[in-house]
Amino acid sequence: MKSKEEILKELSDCVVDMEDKLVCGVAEEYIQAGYPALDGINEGLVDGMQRTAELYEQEEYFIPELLICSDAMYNGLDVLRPHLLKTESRQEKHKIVIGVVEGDTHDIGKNLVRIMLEAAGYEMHDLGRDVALQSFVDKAKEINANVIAMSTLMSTTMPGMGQVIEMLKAEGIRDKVKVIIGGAPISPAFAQKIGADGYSATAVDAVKLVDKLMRAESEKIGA
Amino acid sequence: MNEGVNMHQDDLMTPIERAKALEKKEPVDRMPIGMFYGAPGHSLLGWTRRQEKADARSMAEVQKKVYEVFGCDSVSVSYGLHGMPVAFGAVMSDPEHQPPAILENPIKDINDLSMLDLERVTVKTDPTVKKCYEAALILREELGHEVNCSMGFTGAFTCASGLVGTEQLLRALHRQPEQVHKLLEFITQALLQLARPFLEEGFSVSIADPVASGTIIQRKRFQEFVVPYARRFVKDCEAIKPGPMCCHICGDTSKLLEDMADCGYKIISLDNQVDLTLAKEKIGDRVHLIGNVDPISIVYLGTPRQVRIGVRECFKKTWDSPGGFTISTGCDSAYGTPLENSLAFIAEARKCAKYPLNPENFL
Repeated sequence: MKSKEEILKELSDCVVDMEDKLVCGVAEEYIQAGYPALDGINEGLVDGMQRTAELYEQEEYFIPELLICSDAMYNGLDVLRPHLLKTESRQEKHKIVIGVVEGDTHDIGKNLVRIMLEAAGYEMHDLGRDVALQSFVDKAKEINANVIAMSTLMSTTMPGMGQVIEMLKAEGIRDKVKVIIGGAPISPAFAQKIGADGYSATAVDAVKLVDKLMRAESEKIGA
Repeated sequence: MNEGVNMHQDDLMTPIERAKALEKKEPVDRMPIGMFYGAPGHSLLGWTRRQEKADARSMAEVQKKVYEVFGCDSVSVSYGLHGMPVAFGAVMSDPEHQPPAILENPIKDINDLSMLDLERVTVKTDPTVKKCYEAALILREELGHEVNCSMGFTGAFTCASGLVGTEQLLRALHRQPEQVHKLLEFITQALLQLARPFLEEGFSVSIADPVASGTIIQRKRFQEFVVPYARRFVKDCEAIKPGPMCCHICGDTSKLLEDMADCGYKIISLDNQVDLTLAKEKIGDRVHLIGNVDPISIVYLGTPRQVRIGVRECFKKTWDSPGGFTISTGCDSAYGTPLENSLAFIAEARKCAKYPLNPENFL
């Protein structure tokens, strides 16, 4: 029988090597051997996605490769998740509402950000594309979100992001939620102009950004 | 000055006179200038985008107005990024002012390309091209004595992404590369078939291929899935009508510059994400460069002063590029761009482009 470490390595490699079919069998094998699902996710699949992110940063991988690696991760997750212990799946996570703002339907960038944040352990609530501005606010209130992440590829829909921030202020919850934005026409200057808490140019950087914001937040609470 | 000439008040020659003089290496009033003004064009007439796209006449009227206001060195009609998906039945959004988007791609599964039929993409059957062709003829009839009209097509890779959906296309580069090649093969034939009547009538043809971007795919994929098809298209177009062809690709193409030149394009229009200094070093001796003031951060969101600085920056970097340089925006202007910014762009461009180019005008 293979050791736990061996199969974890195989799970991770399946993600990195774009083995979106093979990964299911490996995940089955891992469960049948009696190893804990949670480790399989974090030390296998998510580890693979993190290595994928490194390859993206090194410009070895681009968007097609990220998409297929994430297919592999999700296929593996489908096998492992049902085996999570109840307490594990109910673990408290930071919650993020994500979507493409109203008027725009380009959602590959948003999907990649969702995938990378999910792999990094955040609880994602994806509103999809062409999302009514009010829906960001409503959803954030409903689930008590820590972060709202908005994306757009089109210059014409950029102002919607600023409107969401104004709506949050009007509802009196601006200080309860961090707002991050991204997309081709977006710049750090624009983020600053509309009063967003952060901007990232890539999906990989979005994880670093949210990690930083959440760390700062918990330090604030701790102090 | 001839009667009926709409030449811009700040110019001394029409674009055609200028182009002819430059060809003969004679002096001109200024070097050619450009500015993408596709998305906001209709607003100059107080129209909606739907009004502009209604028919060939309305499309031509917008181009005439854009020429009258800015006086750039060409007018153009465009297939648009979604022309081919529309020809095959894509479901589109139809916003009043903003560019439309594909809501449903015509091909659901790239393994089944049976719907593709060259009969649906001819100048008679493809509704977008038909309008463009008629509009180009109107523009030549009514403006042709002073400015040339060109036809903008969309590159095969971007057409493919519209036909099957971008995510499906990108996955298929690894999963079903042979299907992608089949699709690109068909599109390349279709594009040539669509371009032929324009070329035969003497219109020049340009290509925009935004999805074939270095931000999305790596160089290896570009070389495999973009270069061979583009090269064939350029060669076949040149065989019908000789003359330099222009290509624009969005995003960061810094690592693809040589490959773009390898496609055979003699004029390359760069997105603002590419440093013109780098482009000059890498391919400035092989092609004419166009670019690349940031249409969003500077022209849409900036002030006229920032726009003027942006124009001068581009001239500073590229005015002495061996293959020549034309100022333009790095991509299309956005709908809603303040007119004063676009006017500032054009005024500064005219000043910097004064012949002979003199660094004192922009350093």
